[in-house]
Amino acid sequence: MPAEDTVFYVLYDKFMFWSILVAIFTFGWLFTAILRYRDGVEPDTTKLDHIEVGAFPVDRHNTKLELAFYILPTILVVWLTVMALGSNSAVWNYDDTDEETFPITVNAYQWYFEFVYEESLTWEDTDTGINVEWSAGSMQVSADGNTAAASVEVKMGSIESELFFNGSTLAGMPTAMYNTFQHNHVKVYDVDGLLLHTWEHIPVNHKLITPSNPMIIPCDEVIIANMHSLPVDPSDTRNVGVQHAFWVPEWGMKEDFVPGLESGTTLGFMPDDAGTFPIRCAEYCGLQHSVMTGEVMVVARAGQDCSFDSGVKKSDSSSADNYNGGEM
Amino acid sequence: MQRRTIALLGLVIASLMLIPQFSAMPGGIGSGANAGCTCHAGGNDGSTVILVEGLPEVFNASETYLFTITLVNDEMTLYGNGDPAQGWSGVQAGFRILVEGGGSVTTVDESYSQTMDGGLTHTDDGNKFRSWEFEYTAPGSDTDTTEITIIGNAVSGGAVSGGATGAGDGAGNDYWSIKSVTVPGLNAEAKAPTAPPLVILLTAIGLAISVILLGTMWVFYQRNPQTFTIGNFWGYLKPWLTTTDHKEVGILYFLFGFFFFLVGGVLALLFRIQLALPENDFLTQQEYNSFFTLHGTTMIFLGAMPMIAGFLNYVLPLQIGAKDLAFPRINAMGLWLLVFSTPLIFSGIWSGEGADITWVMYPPYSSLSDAGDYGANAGATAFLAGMMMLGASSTLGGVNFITTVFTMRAPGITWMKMPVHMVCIRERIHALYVPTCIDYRCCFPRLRPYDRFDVLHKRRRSVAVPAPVLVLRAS
Repeated sequence: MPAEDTVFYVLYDKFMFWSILVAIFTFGWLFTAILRYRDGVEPDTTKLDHIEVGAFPVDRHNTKLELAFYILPTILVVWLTVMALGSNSAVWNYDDTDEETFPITVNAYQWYFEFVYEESLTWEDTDTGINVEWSAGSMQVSADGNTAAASVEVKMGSIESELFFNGSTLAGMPTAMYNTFQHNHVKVYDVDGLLLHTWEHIPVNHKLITPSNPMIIPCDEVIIANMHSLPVDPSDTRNVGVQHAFWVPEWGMKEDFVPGLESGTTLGFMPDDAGTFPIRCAEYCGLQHSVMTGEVMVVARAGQDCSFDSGVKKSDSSSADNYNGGEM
Repeated sequence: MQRRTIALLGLVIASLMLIPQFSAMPGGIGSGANAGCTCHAGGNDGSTVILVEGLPEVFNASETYLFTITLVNDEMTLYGNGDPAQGWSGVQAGFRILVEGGGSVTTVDESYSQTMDGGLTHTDDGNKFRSWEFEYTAPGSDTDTTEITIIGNAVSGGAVSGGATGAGDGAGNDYWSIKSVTVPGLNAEAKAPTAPPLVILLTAIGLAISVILLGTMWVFYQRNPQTFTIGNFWGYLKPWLTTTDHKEVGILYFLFGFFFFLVGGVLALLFRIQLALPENDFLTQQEYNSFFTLHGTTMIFLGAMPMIAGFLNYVLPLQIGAKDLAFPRINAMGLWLLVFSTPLIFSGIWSGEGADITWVMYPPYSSLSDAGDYGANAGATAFLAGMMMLGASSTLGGVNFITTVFTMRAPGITWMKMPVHMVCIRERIHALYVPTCIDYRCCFPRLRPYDRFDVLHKRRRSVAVPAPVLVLRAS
């Protein structure tokens, strides 16, 4: 979901176009009037609408012009508003009938974000030449396409172990304890400790917290983020939390966290390219508002890649009405 | 008798003038009888430069820092070009280091230094260099401040070391210099009386207001210095302070607005300095939040809106042919509500911390002034009270303008004959004054869980909100 493909950036261009047009008209008229009616320039008295000092300029009255002043800007503003609603529908009226949705709960505290997984997510890096297969009873790490791979770090729940490659096969493989209710990961490093490949299983109800963890979401699925603002200390009844906003500047996407709102707010979007993008809090929330940052990491599910293209580009989007289902 | 007094006085003055020179040379570089370290003479002619590298700007308690002292003297050459065969003694320089305020300094190679007369001084071995490595051990408390005085002596190393006439060992060819380095602890400022920058700034602004008042008085005085009295001046000032004339109120609005436009600009410049560099510590987080809150508030409510109000005050009755506004006294009341709301808005600064709730003041954050770091500053309470006075002020102004346009047009100026400018202005009042100032917080409509009077209800317990404001807000 690169920025220039999103509905928000299309809107930006349209608004910029009309702003420039209106500005040229307004300032053009302003400077024309300044030059034409300045002191020392003899007014053109041959026409009816000349200016006469001391006389109320009733003769210059022009109902059509006056009405045009009202009606044209109103039409323009209403049209721009309706067009801008396209961005709202993009994030609010997502298509949740589709099977490929990924619900996730985003909680905002003073001053960090917390991502709670409502569905498990198993993901793996693509195009590294390394492949991890892990299912009940067996684990297979093959590094045929990447000779740099030297060591493997395996984490199963709270157990961590480090293994070493012997050629392209993994030596000393333990009996893999596959448990979908644990947080598991397999990380492959080269001899210098550089991370080459990651395979990770995030179970249901697992929590990732910024700034040390990114928000990890799968690509090519409609992400439905349910967003709540919570107090840091729930026992303090005075404090129900404060307002925050989840803002991904590169996607032009933003939604408020509203304290006390039981159902929370929602944000639906579909990233279609892998990558890491910054998150910012965009609603002033107190002392450390400026450091309330994080990252969103778009990944491919294990065994898949981010080949799907939602097809939204600047060039072929004639109107915001084209966007439905939160595809961006 | 007189002559003797003068002579005595002269003697006293002469000795007073000599004192700094004596104290600048604490017995030479160490007064012990060690070769090369006996009392040095020679001149501090400033040709030797002492370079100190590696001392921290502030120290952490008990931490050890490595630093280097290097003596540079470009003017002198070593005796015999530094050749021992031509009589060069191998002596290049010496140092003496006095430490005050806790902490200690030692050389990395301990054979280069010795303790003498309460300070560190060089040994024979230490003589052979012009650059030494030292270890500075910070005091155990980081509220202390260490002052390190470094006396460096670059010598040319002639003749025999230790000899009475040997160059560079006390009798001549010494080029020494003094440098003092102050290393404060991490929390050393806490000891000194300091004020937050915002307090200093706002005090300066308060002083500026006094200066402006005095300036006004001066201008009045200059008009006719002979007949000036305070009573006269009051007679000149009072009509301005009590005026209900739309033009004069408009001018006052404009002066007020322009003054706070400058104040807001200064605040903006200060927090832009903070933003100029990454990892800057010009302002603390708390100060930064207060600065941009007060900047936004000042620019919008104390700068821009009074200017609009002033402009309308002046122009609106003229353009529709009215004698004055519909409610001249309410108009003046709007102005003075505005003026007296400003001390409330800024007073949090002197009572602890300036409000940090931004100019949009969203609850619940703005109502959480008793939740410690998680809530708003103490200044937010007074700030909100000031905001309500502002709201009352601009609402009164807006109602006044609308009433004037509706009822006080000159005969013949019907709706359709009114200048387009006035139509625009009327619409602007509708759009700007009425909604934004009666309750602009509720104009951001989506999903605010707190009802529009929430702040008011919470505040009523702690703040004495003026009764008319309550009525206005609730209606």
